Amino acid sequence: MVRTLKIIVGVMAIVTIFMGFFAGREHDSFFWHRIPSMEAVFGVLGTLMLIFLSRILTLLAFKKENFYD
Amino acid sequence: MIKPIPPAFLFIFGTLFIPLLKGRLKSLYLLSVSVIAFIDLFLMEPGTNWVYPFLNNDLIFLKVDQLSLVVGYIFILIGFLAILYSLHVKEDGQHAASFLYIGSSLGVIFAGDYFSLFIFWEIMAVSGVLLIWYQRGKEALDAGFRYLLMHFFGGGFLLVGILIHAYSKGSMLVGPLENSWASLFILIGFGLNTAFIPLHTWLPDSYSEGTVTGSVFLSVYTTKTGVYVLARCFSGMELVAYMGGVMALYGVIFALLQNDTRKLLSYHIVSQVGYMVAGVGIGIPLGVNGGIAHLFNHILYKSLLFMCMGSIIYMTGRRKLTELGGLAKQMPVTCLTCLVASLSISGAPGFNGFVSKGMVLSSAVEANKPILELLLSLASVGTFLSFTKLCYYTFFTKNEAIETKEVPWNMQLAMGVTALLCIFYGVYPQSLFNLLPFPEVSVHPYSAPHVIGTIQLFLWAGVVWIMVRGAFSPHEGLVLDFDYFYRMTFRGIAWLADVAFNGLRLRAQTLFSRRIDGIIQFSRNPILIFERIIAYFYPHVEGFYDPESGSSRIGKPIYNENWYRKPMGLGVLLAILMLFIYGLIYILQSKMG
Repeated sequence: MVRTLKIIVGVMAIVTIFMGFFAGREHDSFFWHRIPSMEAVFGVLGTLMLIFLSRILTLLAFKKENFYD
Repeated sequence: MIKPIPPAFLFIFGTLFIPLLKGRLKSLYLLSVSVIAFIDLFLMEPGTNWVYPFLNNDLIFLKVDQLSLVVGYIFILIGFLAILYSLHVKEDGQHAASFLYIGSSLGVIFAGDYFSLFIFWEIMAVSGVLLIWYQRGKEALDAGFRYLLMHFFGGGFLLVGILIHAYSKGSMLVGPLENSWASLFILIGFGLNTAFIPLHTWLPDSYSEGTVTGSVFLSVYTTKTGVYVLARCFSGMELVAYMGGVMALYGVIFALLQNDTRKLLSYHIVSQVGYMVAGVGIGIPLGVNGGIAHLFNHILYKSLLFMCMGSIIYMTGRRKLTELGGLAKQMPVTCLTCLVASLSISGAPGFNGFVSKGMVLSSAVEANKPILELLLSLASVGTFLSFTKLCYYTFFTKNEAIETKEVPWNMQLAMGVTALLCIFYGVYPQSLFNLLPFPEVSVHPYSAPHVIGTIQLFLWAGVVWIMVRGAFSPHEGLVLDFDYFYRMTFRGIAWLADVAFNGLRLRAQTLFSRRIDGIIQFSRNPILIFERIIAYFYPHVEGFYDPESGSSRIGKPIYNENWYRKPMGLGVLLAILMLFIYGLIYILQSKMG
């Protein structure tokens, strides 16, 4: 069940990349608006960046639950 | 024609009748007040009413325009649903606090002058804290005090700003503010309620400690009144727009690290309010419409999320992701409605968040603010990841330790209706667009690039989530926020007051007490001065000589009745002398006269 779900997500993700080439542009103001399927790239890079930021925050500010007690 | 009543009064004075009613009649009453308020609002025409002269100014309790109407509608609508959700609560005090809280929030929305706005603003803070304290327990009590401290601090700034504004402009009318000291103070006051970074710490701290039902109310009103007043007074301010972007990203990063479900939701309030603040700060009609539309939609899905997590706490007593799991089969209605709310907040097509989030992002592009667009887009990715984590670890991981069932019917009904509204405004957004402050702005949310782009964003973020799921797994612990600095500052102040200043006071007190003891003794018997001097140099002189120890005891004289006769004798001698001088003067005057 989980495996099937993962395959469906993967296939759909790839299909949307191709759809992105034909969907046109919503905006045309900044350079990234002109790159087809940029949202997919942004999804991947954004997730990695958030993982990176949250790791840094964990190193700096993660404490035991009774820290203030 | 019946004159519309300020809806604030319906709720505030409606509080008085709550303790008088019981059973089903009370439930009916609690719900009917919202219905009456909604009808009242429906009958209102734009304009100013309920104006009373006060200290050379006017108190305006009912200023109606498109902006106040749309916020009023959603406040009352969600008030009805939150009351429905909390019908099973037996404590009248909780219902009264929520009525006061709703009423005062509506008071802020319809206030036409700063003075009445301030009064309602403070009632909102006080009634809000009751919804936290009713949870009872040390954590709730402490969080409530911190909530009050922060809000009184913000209220103080607001009051100073209002007074400076009134003094410099001679007007108390609520409206756009120019750059000045007054506007800076007012902005800090508003910003605290809107959870500006770094004034936001009260929010995740207190909303996670409120009662199950109280947190639903709390998630709706305080921050949204903040957004509303920003839209009224600071629309188009660049600083506000970028603050929104920072809030959106900051809230999401902290949310990703939370283990407490309601703390996670609270950080998402900071993030989502960031979108609204950004829209309002951008200031163009599309931005303001987007900000207010997001306010409207956010109230629906965020209150629904608090209802869902509240239901889980209500049934299981558990609130941490590390303790939850496997609830999808046991609580299907809660699971389904939580999924609807999660898709809505993430901005999935077909749900209300998709429409308003797209409007705010488009306004950032239209206003040529690329950094703001990137901040908001990144926050959007984080929101999707965060709610994937929340739903997965709450409903879909295995946990055989929990055996529970669905919540009472009233809670299920409230969640169901709110979920339907999330879908309704997602599928038929025009019904919301007609209510917005600039209804003439045309928006087409379901354009092919917008829909496909959003699906791409989610699917690819989802692919990475599946590949590195361990990076998002919850952990027992606490992430320090700016409140660390506040707490440390207050601890420093407490140390300074208790150890340093109080220690200095005690030392000074001891020192002066000794001296004062000496002065008291000398004032009782001034002759002691001479005797002490003599005793110091000639310790065997009578009076200070202690025959038992063989030494003089300065400062601690031995009892000798002659010591007490001497001042008395001296006093009598002085009195006779004075009488003699007086008599002499009298005789001389009478002779000369």
